[in-house]
Amino acid sequence: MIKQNILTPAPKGLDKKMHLNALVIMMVCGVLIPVLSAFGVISVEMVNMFGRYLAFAIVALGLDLIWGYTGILSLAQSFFFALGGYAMGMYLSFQGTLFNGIPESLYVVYPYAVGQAKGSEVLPWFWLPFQHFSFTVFLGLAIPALVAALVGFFGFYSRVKGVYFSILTQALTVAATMFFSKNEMFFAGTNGLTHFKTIAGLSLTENSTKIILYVITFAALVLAYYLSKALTKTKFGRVLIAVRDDEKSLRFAGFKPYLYKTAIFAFAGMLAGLGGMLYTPQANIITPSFMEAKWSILMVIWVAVGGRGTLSGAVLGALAINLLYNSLTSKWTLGFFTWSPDYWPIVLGFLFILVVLVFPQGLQSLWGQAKENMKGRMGK
Amino acid sequence: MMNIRGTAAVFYLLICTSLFSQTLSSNAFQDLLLSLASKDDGVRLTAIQGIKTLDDPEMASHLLTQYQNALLFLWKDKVIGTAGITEDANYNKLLSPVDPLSGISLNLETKTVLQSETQVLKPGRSERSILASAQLFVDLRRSDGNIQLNAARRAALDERALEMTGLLQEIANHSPGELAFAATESLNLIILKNSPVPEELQTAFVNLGAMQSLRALPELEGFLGNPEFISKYPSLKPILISAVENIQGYQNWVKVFDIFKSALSSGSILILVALGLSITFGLMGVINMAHGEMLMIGAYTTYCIQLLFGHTPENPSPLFFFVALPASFVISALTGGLIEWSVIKRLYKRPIESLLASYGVSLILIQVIRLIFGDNRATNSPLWLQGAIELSQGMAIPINRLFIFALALASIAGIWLLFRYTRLGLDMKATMQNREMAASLGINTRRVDNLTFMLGSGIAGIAGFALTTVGGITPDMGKNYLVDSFLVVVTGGVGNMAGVASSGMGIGFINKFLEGTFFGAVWAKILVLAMVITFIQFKPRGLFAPKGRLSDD
Repeated sequence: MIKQNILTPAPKGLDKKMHLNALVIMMVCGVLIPVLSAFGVISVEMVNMFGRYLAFAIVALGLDLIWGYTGILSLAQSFFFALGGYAMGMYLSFQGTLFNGIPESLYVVYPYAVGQAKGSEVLPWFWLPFQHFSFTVFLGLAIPALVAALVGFFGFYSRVKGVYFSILTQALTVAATMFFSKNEMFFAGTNGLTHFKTIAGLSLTENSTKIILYVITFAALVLAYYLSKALTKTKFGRVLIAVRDDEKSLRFAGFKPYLYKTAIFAFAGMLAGLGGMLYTPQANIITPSFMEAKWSILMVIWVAVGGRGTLSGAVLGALAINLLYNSLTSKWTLGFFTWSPDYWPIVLGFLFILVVLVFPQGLQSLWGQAKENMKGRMGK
Repeated sequence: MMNIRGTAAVFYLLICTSLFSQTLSSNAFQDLLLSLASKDDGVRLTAIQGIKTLDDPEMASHLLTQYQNALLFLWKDKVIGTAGITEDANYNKLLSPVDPLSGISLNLETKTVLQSETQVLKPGRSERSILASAQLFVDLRRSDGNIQLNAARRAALDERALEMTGLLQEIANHSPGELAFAATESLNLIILKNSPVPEELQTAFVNLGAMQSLRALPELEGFLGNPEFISKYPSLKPILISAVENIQGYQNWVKVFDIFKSALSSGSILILVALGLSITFGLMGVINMAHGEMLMIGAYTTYCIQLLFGHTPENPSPLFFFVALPASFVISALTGGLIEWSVIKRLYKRPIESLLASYGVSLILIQVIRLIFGDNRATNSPLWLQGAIELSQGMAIPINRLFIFALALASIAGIWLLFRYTRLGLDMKATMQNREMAASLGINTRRVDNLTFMLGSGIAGIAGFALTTVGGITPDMGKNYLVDSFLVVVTGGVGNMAGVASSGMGIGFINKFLEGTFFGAVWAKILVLAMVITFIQFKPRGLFAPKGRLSDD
């Protein structure tokens, strides 16, 4: 009864336009922001904020690959994001104050079972690998990718698809949030991991460290963008689009769609983990609330607003929505009208409806339409 | 408070006028009350003793309560009660003197008395526990069954329990089931607490074991865990053990009963929430993330109707509930219809996008309701829904849970009847099965779509109405049920009423069973989610999957 969601193929020439957009975003984020901050026009906090949004953009890239290109709507991206974030958070916790060899944020919520007294704590075994930076980076990418691969494989192998897969991943995210919120699981409960001090020997409070983190995030985003772009150009990428448009015919043609889907789902999970790893040191905290299903849906709307099926659109959407969020969740007055942060969810709600009903191709299509109109007029 | 005191006064007036002839003369009463005003502790205690043993327990209870609440006053060598305390222009407290027994106003020249001219009769600190015992003693003789039952239960814990054994024995011998049980239980517990005689203890152990008294279990375990006692009376040990085992066996049944009870109620709530979803999601293929908000709107409608009827715990309105039920259905259905007309109808071919758009709708609804009503509102159930039906010792079913269960059954039956026997139901089924064919046969499919969506939303509204009887309401209350109800629908098989009913109950039962036996609430929830996810792996089409041609893919 539920038909596969079929998108119209990207119009010709979109590719070139997309590339132009990507270049513009890159110039703004890579050149303009560092230069402005060097001249003191924008504060380091602003740069730090952009850095966090760029980390979100990496997640959006992965989501675009699976949703825009492959047609799988996953509501577990926030889970993968938080997995990466927790990996980095555990490493950073070791760089803070330790009590009895146990990081502060874990120590304060250590669950004391019957017969256990303060001072008898043992560091849980799964915290051990995160004492080393390089190992953390590896695990921060590998764990989300592995979890995604497992979920994807079992889901796709038994042909759970469409909205069923969305609901399944949402349930998974809900379960994971509960799991991480429990003190007995030694992930510091609902408080999450915080009280970080240094990263790889650099103080997190220093401005220079914040700039460095920004630059690294930007570099990671560029790398992820070109990697994803290259991926879509290959035969593998074309199979993904075929999965989206007509999975049945693809299966009849002798392909095994579930393998392709699993692979791209794992890759998207890895990108989400990368985003989480870059987000945590810049936000200085990671809690189970980042895992909640509502974040996953928000991530979907980043991609939808930017324009799914175009990678630069995903980046653009993530940045645009977060900047909008930033400006609309502060109080300001204009004449008789006072804007309250309470109105933000309503704006966001209308954004959801508008982007689905009016601009299904997102901001990218607006850009394209404007250009078409210009051309039309010039032609006359 | 005034109100209750007023009714009590009228009540006692009736009783006192009818019983006055049998009781002591008015003067004797005054003497008794005057001794309550005495400075001497001994005189006061004798007075309490005197009141306690009055022939009429209702009157005694009334006097004790008045004394306890400091409502008796000594004025001109006379003890008076008051119909209320007011203030004059100079903020002096004024009493309206009444007879302490009957509550009839005294025929005096002055209608009011300055409180400063009187002396209040107030029990001292040491008197409090004596008074409480006296009240219990009096309550044991009263005619109200519930008061008697409560007193019989509490008697065992009282400091002066030994004084009450005679009364308890009488109740145990002459009263009906529940009351006699409580009295016998208390009698035996009193022996456990006070008697040093091993033979008496042995009888009490045997009796309590045979009664399977849950209240005795900690006491008996205390005896068993006391090595001094066991070494002193080794012959009592096997008797104790068998009694404890007997009670524990019963306690396990009570636990099982509790699990069934909570499973039944959580299952019925799940069914109610999922029924509406199985119509919008199952039949129409629309992912309505705002389904939880339809539930919330039903709950807030109930709240508004309650305000409209001015229903409060002090001033209950029996009618509001019967108005709130259809109102919550209608308002939720209308909201659903509006959403369908404005958003959903454009997205029938794009289910994933209907998920996003309806999520936007849910964000807007939650925030708008929050801005209007604020964050937390409580509703009060009508009186007849409060309380519980006690089936056996320790096994009671709350009436509101039974009500929700009945509501779930009625909703299933209603939907089934609608689809089976009405033109509208037939139109709905036809449209969902083959839209083109239905349209060509003259069915207005657009209208049917809208009505179907309204039906699903309205049932969610009923679920919201039902939830107000078990908890408070918040703007985001629907969120908690959304994922669960999606899982119920997916597990039950899309568009399948029987599937929804069985998977809703099933998930409710598994959840509560895990929660009640080995795991905590959170672990149970995680496990259920994991089980459902695994289940979908093997049966992606649900419990009752369509077979043959109908099975797409």
